[in-house]
Amino acid sequence: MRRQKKIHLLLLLLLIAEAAAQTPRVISILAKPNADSLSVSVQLADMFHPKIVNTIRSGLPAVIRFDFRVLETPDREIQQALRSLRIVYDLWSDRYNLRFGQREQFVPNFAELEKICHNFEEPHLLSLARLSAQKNYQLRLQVAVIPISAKQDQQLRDWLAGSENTAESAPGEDRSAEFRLNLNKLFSFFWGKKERPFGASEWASSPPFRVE
Amino acid sequence: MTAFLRKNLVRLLAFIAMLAALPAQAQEGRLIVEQVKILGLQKTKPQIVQRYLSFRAGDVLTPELIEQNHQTLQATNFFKRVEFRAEPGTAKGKVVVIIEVDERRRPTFEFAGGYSELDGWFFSPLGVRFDNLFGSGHFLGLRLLIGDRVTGANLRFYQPNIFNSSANFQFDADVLGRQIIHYFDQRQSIQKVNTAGVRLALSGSRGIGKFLSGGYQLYETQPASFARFVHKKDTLYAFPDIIARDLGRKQIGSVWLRLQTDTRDNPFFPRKGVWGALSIEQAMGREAKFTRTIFDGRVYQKIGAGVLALRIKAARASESTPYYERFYLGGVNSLRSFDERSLTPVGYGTKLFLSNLEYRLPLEGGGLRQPRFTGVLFFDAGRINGLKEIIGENVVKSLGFGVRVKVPVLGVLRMDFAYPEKHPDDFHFYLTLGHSF
Repeated sequence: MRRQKKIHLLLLLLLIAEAAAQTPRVISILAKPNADSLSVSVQLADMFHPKIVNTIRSGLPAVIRFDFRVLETPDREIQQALRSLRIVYDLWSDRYNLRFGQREQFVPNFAELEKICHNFEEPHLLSLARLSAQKNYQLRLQVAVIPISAKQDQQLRDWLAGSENTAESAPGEDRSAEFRLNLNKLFSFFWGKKERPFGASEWASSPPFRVE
Repeated sequence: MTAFLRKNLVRLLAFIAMLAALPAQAQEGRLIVEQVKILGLQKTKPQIVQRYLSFRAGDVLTPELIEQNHQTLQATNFFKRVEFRAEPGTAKGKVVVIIEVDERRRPTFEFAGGYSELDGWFFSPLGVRFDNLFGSGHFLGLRLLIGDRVTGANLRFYQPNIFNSSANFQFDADVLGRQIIHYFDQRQSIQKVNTAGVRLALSGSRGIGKFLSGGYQLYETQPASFARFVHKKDTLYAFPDIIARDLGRKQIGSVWLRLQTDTRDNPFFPRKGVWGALSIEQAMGREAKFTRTIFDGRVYQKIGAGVLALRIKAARASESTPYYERFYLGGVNSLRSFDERSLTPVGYGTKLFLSNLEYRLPLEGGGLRQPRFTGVLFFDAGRINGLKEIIGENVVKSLGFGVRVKVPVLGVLRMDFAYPEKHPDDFHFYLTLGHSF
């Protein structure tokens, strides 16, 4: 009986460990001026949950979304910068294609792909002209790995701005245009538990930096 | 020779049919669905989800197709979360599609509002909807309405794919107090008309059925025996005969049939395509017998950087039609540059023609797909029987310009500045929701 309890406890711990490993982790962020831009180097871990690996290996894409926020210390957000890295496995050539903006790269195996994704570099995150040399800044980052399409990562902003909020009646009937506001979503946004987007890391911050 | 040709033609056709029936094979660069797995369902039957999917095992799969299906499933409001992912199948290029869902267990509460041609501005301070009743994909919604010219409640039940067919069933029950606008000697007055009734409708979603809908409605109306003038607070008790004959409680039962088409490329900002309907209604009760025919056609065509949009509405009703079922002219969704229904004859019209022509030019954001800011030039023309007695002309025309701004929650906010062709100094400003057509 006692042995059975121990096994159950072990299974529970394994489950907790598995759940924790489902989301990517940001190990470090380093922001520094690079000519007239702000460059950033990010070290990541646990990027590829088996669900994501399977999706990639099936030949469908996966998208890594980097949500950077520039904060004027102590805590005033002044800028957002979104970046996406798209990964596709070419089944027939047995190689991985990485697309980041206009840049494209092919890698021969998954280990190589993981290495690139775990050490992300963006030399031109934003123009230094937008930042003041007299102030201290900090960079915050949340990383999400989304299978197939970034559109699966639904945001409240998309829901609020969605055109489907105005419905129109059928032709021939007395014309009516109306909007609908889902109160459940609204209440959970303001008073509900703030949940991370599915498959997203915790927010991580860089050390404070200046751009002089 | 003829027999030889016929025999081989049959063989050729059989061969083509066999090729068409073969499931798609994985070719280089192409992914094929091997299986669709749906995870996380507790109350919803898997076939309810499958109905909304546009792909099956054997179909070619693309990320765009998955995006489209993801949006469709999200829009059902059955689920709090929908995630599509995949696993490699048993052969290269074959894919097992996995759809993981988190079911919505509670009903959705809604706040709604809008502008209706019939009822003016309205709000629904509280509505409750069950989008997936008992996990069967049925919709049940109840909402209260309060507005400029309407107060009441509506109950709706909607069942898609009845008896596993492509037909959809809808039931509505309404209890409404409506205010009907009349113009007597160019003075606006309001008359209350209470209605309560039910409406049953059948529509198709596939094949020829998607062009057809029809139904039956039964409702009781009771117009007030007086109307109040809006500006001077006096009351009218002696209605003209054309209105007086329809006063008193009346039960109206009618059947209706509608032929419709929609080939628009985008329902929110069409660049090309047609949206139109021809509907015929026949009331056959003891207390009211009348026929109404309405044609409403809209054509959209991209020209230059913008879109030219044309709407033609033509309607006819028999002389026995009660005035509150007849047609009106004037207002923001009808003929702009005139007050709401101010071009309508006493007792409303039985013949209506209305055309609206607009050139819509996206000015900022999202291009032609989803522009955030759109400039519009428009020309409206219309006529209704009895118009000459009101304005001295058979056809009224107006011109104008406006802007459409896409705003969060509300959708498209419309501002129009309209001028009557004959009196350009008498301009009207309108603020409402949605495109004009």
